[in-house]
Amino acid sequence: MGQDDENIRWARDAAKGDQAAFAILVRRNQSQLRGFLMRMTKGDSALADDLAQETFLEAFRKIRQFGKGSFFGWLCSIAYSRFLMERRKKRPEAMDEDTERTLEDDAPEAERTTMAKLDLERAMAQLPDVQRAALTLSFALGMTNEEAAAAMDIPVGTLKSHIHRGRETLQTILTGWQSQQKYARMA
Amino acid sequence: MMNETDDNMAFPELDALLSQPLTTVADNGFTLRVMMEAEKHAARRKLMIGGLLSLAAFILSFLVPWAKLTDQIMGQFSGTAHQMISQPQLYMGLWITLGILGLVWYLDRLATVRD
Repeated sequence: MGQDDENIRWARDAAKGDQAAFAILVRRNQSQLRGFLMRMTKGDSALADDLAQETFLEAFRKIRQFGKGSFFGWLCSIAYSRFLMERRKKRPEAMDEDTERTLEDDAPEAERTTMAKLDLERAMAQLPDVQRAALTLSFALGMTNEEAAAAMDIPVGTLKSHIHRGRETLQTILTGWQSQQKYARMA
Repeated sequence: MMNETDDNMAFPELDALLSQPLTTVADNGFTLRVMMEAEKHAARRKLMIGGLLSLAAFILSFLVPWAKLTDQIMGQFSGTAHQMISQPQLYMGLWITLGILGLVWYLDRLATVRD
């Protein structure tokens, strides 16, 4: 992956104490990382930004520990563990309440996106965290199974089973909504 | 890029939907905020290292047998050196240094909390 080769080059410079190189790394990866965390927090952009900032600061502190492999994958592994820590701190129900409110608040903006994508985001929000992370890393972020499993710190077989279960659940949810829409149009 | 899984063909539409890239998030000063925090962290780290080194030097100064050293090195001047070291002003100076370091650390924490 060309983008990641460049990331690794900047990461090497940053490890030597070059703060400008680290700033480039942040600028290059912030959109994807914040997008990933936005999906993980079910659209809570403030929490996603806080987690992204904490992730980059931890990466800054541990940049010398970054070895081989995908730099973005390494960032995602930090971000995912930060997300899980936050999830443990906050009651899961409280996070879900926040999410429902956020999804409603964001509705006018979401209307601008395609209905299918909006449906996907709503359906994704109903999945368990681990399945949402597995599907996002593997599909939307285009990671290989090995990279996604490393980012989530789980075996590849477990990742595959989360992907499989997640897709099945999504299919059920989306099909159900499709049927409901058909009935609504007929009525 | 779509991930290769065993049952890709079961839900072709869903896979295409899932493979759509995530919505682009505008920077809007995010990089700047992260870098400001990173610089603060680097400055705090330097301050802590400086403080720890000063503290280590202060503690080590009690372990050095100054009287013996001054006797051997200074010879006839040892009395003068020994007198100097046993002056209470010197220890007051050390406590003042420690106090200043503590104050700097406290102010740094205060600034961090305020930020």
